[in-house]
Amino acid sequence: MDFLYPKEMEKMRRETPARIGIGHAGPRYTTKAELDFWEAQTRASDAVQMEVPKEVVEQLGVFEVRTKCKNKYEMLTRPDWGRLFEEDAKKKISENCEHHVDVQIYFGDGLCSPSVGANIPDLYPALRAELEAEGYKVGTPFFVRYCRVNTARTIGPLLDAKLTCVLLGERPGLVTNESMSAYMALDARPEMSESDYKVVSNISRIGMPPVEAAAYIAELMKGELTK
Amino acid sequence: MNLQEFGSIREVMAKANDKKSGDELAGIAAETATERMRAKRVLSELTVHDLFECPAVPYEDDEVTRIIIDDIDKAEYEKIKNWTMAELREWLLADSTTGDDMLRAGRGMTSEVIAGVCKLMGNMDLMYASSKMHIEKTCNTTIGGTNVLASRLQPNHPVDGPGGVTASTLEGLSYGVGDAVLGLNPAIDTVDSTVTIWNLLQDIKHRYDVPTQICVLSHVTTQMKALQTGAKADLCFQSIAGSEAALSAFGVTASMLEEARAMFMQDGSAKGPNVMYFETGQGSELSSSAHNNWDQVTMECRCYGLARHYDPFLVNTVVGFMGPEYLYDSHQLLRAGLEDVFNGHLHGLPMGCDVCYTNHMPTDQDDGESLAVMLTAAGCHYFMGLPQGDDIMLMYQSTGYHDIAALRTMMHKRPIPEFEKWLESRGIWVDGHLGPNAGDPTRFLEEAV
Amino acid sequence: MEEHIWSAGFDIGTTTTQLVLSRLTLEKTAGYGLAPRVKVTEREVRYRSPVAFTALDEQDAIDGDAAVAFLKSQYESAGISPEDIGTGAVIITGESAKKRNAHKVIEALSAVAGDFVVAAAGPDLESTLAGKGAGADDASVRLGRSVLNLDIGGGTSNLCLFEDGEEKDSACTNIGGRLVRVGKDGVVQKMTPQIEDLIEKLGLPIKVGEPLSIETARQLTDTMADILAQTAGLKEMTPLGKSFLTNHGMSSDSHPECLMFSGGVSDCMAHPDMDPFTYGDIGPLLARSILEHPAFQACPVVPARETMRATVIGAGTCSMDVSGSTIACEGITFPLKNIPVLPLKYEGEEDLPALQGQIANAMERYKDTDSLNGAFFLKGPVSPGFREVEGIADLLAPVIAEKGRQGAVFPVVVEHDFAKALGQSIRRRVGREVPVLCLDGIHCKTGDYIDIGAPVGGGICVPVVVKTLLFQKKGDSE
Repeated sequence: MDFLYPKEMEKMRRETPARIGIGHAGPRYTTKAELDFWEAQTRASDAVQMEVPKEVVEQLGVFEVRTKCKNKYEMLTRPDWGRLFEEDAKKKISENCEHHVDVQIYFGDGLCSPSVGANIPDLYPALRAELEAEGYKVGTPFFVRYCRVNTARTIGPLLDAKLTCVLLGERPGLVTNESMSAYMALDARPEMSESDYKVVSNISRIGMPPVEAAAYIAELMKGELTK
Repeated sequence: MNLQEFGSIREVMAKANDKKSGDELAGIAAETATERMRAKRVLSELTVHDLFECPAVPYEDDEVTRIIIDDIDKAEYEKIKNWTMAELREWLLADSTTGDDMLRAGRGMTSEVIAGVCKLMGNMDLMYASSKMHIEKTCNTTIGGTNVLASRLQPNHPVDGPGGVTASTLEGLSYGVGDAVLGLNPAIDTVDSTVTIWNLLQDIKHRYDVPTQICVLSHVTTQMKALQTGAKADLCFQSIAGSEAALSAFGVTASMLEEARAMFMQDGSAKGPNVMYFETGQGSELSSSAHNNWDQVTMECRCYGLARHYDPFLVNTVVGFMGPEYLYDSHQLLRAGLEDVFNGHLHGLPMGCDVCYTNHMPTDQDDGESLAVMLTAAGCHYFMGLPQGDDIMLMYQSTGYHDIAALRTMMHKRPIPEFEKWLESRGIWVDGHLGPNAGDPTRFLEEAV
Repeated sequence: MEEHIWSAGFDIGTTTTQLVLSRLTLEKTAGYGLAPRVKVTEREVRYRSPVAFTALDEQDAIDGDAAVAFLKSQYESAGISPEDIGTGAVIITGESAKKRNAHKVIEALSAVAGDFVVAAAGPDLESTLAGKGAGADDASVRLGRSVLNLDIGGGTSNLCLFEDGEEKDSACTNIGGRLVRVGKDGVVQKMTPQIEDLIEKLGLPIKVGEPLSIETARQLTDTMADILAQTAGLKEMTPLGKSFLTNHGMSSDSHPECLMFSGGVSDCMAHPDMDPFTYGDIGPLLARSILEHPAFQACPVVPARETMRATVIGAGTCSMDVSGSTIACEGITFPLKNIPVLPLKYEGEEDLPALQGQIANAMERYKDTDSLNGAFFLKGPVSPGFREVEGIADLLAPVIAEKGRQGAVFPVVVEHDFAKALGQSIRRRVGREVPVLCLDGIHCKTGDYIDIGAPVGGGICVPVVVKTLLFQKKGDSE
C-alpha cells in the first residue's frame, strides 16, 4: 500500500522486527503477508516437531542420551520427564565423561531441533577455546534428546561440575527457527529453581551470532567462576 | 446419585472436566470418555449448596477462598442454594432469565459453583449464556457497551526499544486497535523500564488525544514503585492465580493487590473507578504445584472469584500461553477459551481473551481465528491486537490488528464509542469498517512534518 | 537505564565564534537473556554561548589565546568544568587563510576543552556537521526525499546532501556574505582577492574606498548566487563555478529534491527587506539574490531546525556515537585519539586468502601517517564461523603483537557483531602483555581517523568518533 511518508515507514520498520507496515486487503492481510506468516509459523512448528538427525549428532562428535521422554509427544506434554534420566542414561553419562570439571557443557534439542546443527559447530568450539585459554577444565560434551533446562539439576552433581551449562534449542517464534539459549548454573543441584540460571538467549545467525555469543558466554562464565 | 464411585466432590469435578492435558499431567483426569460422562451425570445432580460447601482449598488455609466466600451475596445464595447444577444450567439458558438476572445470581455463587455448571455446558451453551450478560466498567472510557468489541494494543518489543514500541503502537492505532488499553509486556521487569514505557504511552495518548487507558504489565510491586517516582499510568496490572500458594509463586498477596488498587485510585492517571487489570490462564496453579489436586477449570475459575473483589476494568485469560502440557491442541484450546469467558462473565467480570498459541502446540493461526469468532459471538469484551498477531518478545501468536477490524465489521461490532469517534475523525474507521487512512501509521507523523 | 555524557561543540568561524554544550543520553536496553545494548537516544542542547566575533591576531589569523579565554569563560558561565565534558568537537571553519595556524589553536584548545574532545577541521566535516545541526538528515527521512543543506557563512558555503538520513555527498565553495565588507557610509572597505578577480571579470565598478550602490552589489551577488546554484547541482557547473570550489564539488549525478538553508546568510533570507548593509557586508544582498534566483526558486525549501548555529550544534551533538555492545578490551589507556583507519577488504571467507596481502598494504599506508597507532577496519560477514574468526586472528595477531611490544595500540574495528569473538581470538594469540581492543558496530573508510573514549554503559561499549579528515598531511597546501 502507499504510505503518506514511505521513508518514515521504512524507518519504523527498522526499529522493530514486528510485522508492521504490511498493508491490508479490506480488514484482512495481503496475500504476501498471509503467506509469509503461514510459512514462518509452519517452519517454527516443524522445528519443534522434527528430530535432531543422528548424523548431526555424529558430526558434532559427541555421544547421545535421552531423558525419560520416549518421543516428541511426551517431550511436549511431560515437562517433568524431560528433566529426568533413567538409570542407564545416567550411567552412560557418568562412564563417558570426565568428572570434577570446572565447566560442563552439553547440548539439548529443547523445543527447536534445527538450532543444534545451526549453532553448536561454531558456538561450542569458540566457547571451549576461550575457557581453556583461561585455564579452566572443560568437561566432555554430549547430546541430550528430549531435553529440558532442568536436566542440569542432574548433570551438575553427577559429574561434579562447578558450573553446568546446557546449550538448548529455544521455543521458536516466527522470526527464526534456529535460535538457541545457554542456561548456566553454578553448583547445579536438584532443588534449584529456574531463576538460579543465568541465561543468554536469541543465539542464531540473525540474533547474536554463535561465535559472538560464545565470547559473551565465556566472559559471563569467568565472572561466575570467580565469584 | 452415585457419588460413591468417585469418592469426593473434588474427584467428580476433576473427572467431569472436559479433556485437558493439564489434568492428565496432574493425574486427576477421567481415564476414559465414558468415565467423564458418568462424572458429568453425577455433577448434574449436585446442588449449589454442595459445591459451596466444598471449596478447592479450605477456608482456613487460603486467602483466595476467604475472599471468594466472604464476597458472596448471602441473600442471592439463599435463593439458589438448593438448585441442582442441572437446574442452574437450564435457568441460565432460559429465555425468561435476563443477563441482569444471571449477574445478580452470580453474586451468590462461589467459583466452584460456577466451574461446576460450566462442565455441564456444551460449547454453544457457553457462548449463548455468556452473550446474555452485559458488564460495563469504567476507567477513562467505558468498556462493555452494546455491540462494543474492544481491543488491547500490545506493542511488545524484544528490548522495549522506544522507537519500536512507538512504531507498533502507531500501526495498531491506524487499524483501530487500542480502545481497551495500550498495554505493553516489558522485556525486563524494572522500575526504570516501567516508567520509561508509561511515559512513552502517556505521550502518545496525549499527543494524539486518544481516548483510552495505558498500562505496563510489569510486576505489581514494580508498578507501585514506579508510581512512587511520580510517573503515572491508568491501569494497574497483575497476573493472578486461584490459590494463595499459586499467588505467592507469582510473588503476590491479596493485601498487596488491595494496596496497589488504593494507590492507583489515589495517584494513577485514570478517572476510574475501575483501575485494575488482571490476566489468568488455565494451568498456572498446576505449574507451581499449587492446584491442591483440583482441576484446572475450577482453579482458573477461582482467579475470577479473586478478581471480582477488586472490581477490575479488564480481565483476560491468556488461553494458549501455558503450552501443550496444559492445553494440548486446538480442541482443548477452543473449549478453554469459551469456558473462561463464560466463567468470568458469570463472576460479573469484563472478560477479554488473549486468543493465543505457542509454536510447540499442534495448533495454528486458523484455530485462533475460529476461537476469536466464537468468542465475539459470546460477547467477549476485548481481544489482543498485535502486528499480524506475532509477538516478537514473548514468542507466541495471538490475534492481529487486522483481526480486530475484521471481527468488528463481520459481526457488527464497534469500538468503544469515544474511541470510534476519534478513529472516524482521523479517517481510520468509517461506517463500521476500515477507512481510507487505515493501516498507515505514518499519517500520525503529519503533525511532525 | 540512562547515562548522560556532556558534549561540547566549539566553532571558530571566519566571522563568529560560538560554543554549545549538549547532553547526550545513552540508554542501556536489555531483554530477558539478551546481552545489554547501549544507544544514543537523545542529543539535547543545554547551553548556548552568545555569538562572539572571532578574534584575529596581527597576521589576521585566528587568535588562539583569545579562543582559549572565550572557551574558559563560557564553561564558567555554563557552570561546567572540562572534567565534566565527555566528548565533543572543536572545529575551525570557513576561509582557509585564517586557518593557517589551526593546528596550534586546536592544540591549545584541546588542552582546556576536555579529555575526549575531538580536534577537527576540514570542509567535508564542516558540511556534515552543519547539515546534521540544521536537521537535514532527519528531514530527509521524514520527507522521504533527498535534502541538501547549504550552510552559507561569511567566507564559505558548506553543502551536504542527505538521503534517508545518510550523508550522500558534500561540497564547499568560497561563497559567503562577508567577502566584501562595506562601512556604514556605504563605502567598500575590504575584499578577498578571489572576489576582486571576479569583480574584474564581470567588469563591475566596485573598488575599495569607493561607495557601493545596491544595484551594482546585486550584480555581484546574483553571480555569487549562480555559483552557489551550480555547486548545489541545480544547474550545470561552469569553469567559473569550479574555480570557487574549496576542495571538491558534488558528483554530477547528485541532484537535491529539497533544499535547506543554514548559516548567517540564511537568517538574512528570512528578512529580505532588511537594510542591505546592516552587517557591514553583502550578506543581506546575497540572501536576496538567492531568493530571486530561478534555480533556487524551482526547488522546494524545508525550514532548518537551526540556522546560525547549525555547525556548532552539529559539532556539539553529532560527532560522537557508541560502538556495538560486545567489545573486547584489555590493557588500554583511554582515550585513544587521532588513530588513522586502515581498511581491509574483508566481507566473508572468500576474502581470507587475500587478507595477508591486504594487511601488508595497510601497513605501508600506515607508515605514511606518522602515527604511532593504527586501527584496522574490516566489515566482515554478519555471522562468521569459528574457523573464520580464528583465520582472521591468525593474520592480525602478529602485527598487533609486534606493534604492541613497540608501545603502540592497534585496535580492530569491525562493522558486524563479532568484535568480542575476534578480540578473544587475537588475545589468545598475543597473550596478556599486548593491549587488545576490538569493537564493532562502526563503519569507517579510507582516510578516516578514529577517536575512542573510555568504556561506558558499565564497560560494555566505547564512545567513538569517526572523522573524515583531521589535518591534511604535512606538505599539503593548507
